[in-house]
Amino acid sequence: MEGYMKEGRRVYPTEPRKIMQARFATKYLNYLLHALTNIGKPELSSTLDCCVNKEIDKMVRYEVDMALALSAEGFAWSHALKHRLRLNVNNNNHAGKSQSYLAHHDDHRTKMPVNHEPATKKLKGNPKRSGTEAAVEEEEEERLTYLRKLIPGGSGEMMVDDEILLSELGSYVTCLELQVNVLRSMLQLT
Amino acid sequence: MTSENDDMGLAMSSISMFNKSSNTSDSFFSSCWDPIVSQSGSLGGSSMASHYHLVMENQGISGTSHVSHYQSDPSFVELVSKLTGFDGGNLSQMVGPFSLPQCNQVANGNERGSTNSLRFLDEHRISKEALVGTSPNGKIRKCAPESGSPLRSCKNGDEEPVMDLSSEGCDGPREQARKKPETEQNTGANSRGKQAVKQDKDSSQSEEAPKENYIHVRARRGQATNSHSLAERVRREKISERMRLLQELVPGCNKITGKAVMLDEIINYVQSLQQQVEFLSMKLATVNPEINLDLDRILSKDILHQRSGSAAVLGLGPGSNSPYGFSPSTFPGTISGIPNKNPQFPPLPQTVLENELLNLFQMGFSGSTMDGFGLNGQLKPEM
Repeated sequence: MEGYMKEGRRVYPTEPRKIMQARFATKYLNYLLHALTNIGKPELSSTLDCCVNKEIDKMVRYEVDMALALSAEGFAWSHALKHRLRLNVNNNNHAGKSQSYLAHHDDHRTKMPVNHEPATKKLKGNPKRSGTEAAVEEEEEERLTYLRKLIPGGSGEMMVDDEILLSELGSYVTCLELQVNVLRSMLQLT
Repeated sequence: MTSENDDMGLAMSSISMFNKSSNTSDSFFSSCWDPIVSQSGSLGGSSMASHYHLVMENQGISGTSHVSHYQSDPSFVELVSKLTGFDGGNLSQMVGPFSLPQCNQVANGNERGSTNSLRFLDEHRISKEALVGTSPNGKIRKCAPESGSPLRSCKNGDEEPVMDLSSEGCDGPREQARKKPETEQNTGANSRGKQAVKQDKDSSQSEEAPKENYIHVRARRGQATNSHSLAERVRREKISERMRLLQELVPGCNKITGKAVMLDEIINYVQSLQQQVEFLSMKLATVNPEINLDLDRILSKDILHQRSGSAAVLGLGPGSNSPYGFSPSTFPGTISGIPNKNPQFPPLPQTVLENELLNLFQMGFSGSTMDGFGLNGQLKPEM
């Protein structure tokens, strides 16, 4: 094992997806650690005391998302996520409000429980109706549109096609899982 | 106008070639007139000459002007009469030694890329009923290969000598970009053409996909051969394939059959992952002031050895295939490339961090129970 530790030598698995996963995790960790150390610096002492926690929360969340977007280049959702993050930053800078990013994000998140329940209720409440093909397709369409709201850029022009949406979903789910793993490990190390 | 004249010039040169040489140029000329033929939709048993004239009158697309010029050409009538005398053997002989790039030139010279050159030969050989059957599809077949792929339909079992020689030469124009709607139209047209050929035989011949850039779809027995339904079937199959892959990603979905329930599960899973990320990031924010300590602790190898279990999850997602656009590009450059992108990062801890990350991954690989992935056997040292 010591032999692999020489400078300039890297050991990689032969499976390509392991390579990609490792690459993602490396990038993510790199980016996030450095971003967080920058957050921790005394630059934030100028902000109001009451808002410090929210600011830090917000910035950490921003960096977490940005790390995800930057570690997984080449996907439509990562591009959309980057775009959204930068837009929010611009909004913050111009409007001077610290709430806009959080507000936008909260909307994004509060949509999830509210909109999802009617879909499941429909499935359970109308068993006869769900037997018909049209109703089933309608349900599927509902779920697909709901998925579009979940994935960044799902409502955009890149993912109009169902196929593309599903493949983007696959990459998004994989990267989310990796992200959760990295974050968990980072926290466990503290 | 000049482009049209160029087309005419090319075609005229082809006609002059006809006058000089005998059989090969006949086939060449006939091949160039295929779009007209396929457009007519009236290749019945009657003489070809009259049909050609009819066709030329009916042709209403941009090539009308140069078609009319051809009409007046006396050699054209001779060629038409020669065409009626073609039989299968002659065709293959003619097409075989024929230099295909010329065919492609003229094909590409035509503004509309009307290049169903050998397709006409195929149709001519198949049967007249089949031709009539495919003629309504002539429009679709016409629109599809606008990129200029003359020999697309020559993947017929009957045309084997033709296919072998012509497919080699026509890789050029065939390599042109194909759009998805074209593909779907192509699949529809091809499958129809193939069904026309194989109406008598029920054998399922293997499609020669490797030479083509798109997918041939055979219409199954008893299924509709409408181009739309075939394209729809291809699309559905692709979607169901993606759903299968997603099923592997989302844990606990192996037994689920049904798209709606599967989508439900995916939704739940994505939501839960997003909630976890949010929770973890908030937790991270609370411990953020201690992040410097984290770095120091990360850099110490004792932590790494202790935390080998947690490090195992680093970089190792669920053991599953993820063919989602991952392309293993310059890996060695990645790790060193990241710090260079952001000049504000202090360089010193980075190199150390990289080494420690490497340690983490190695821990992960050795400690992983998912794939039985050992350091000894399967890791590949990278210079």
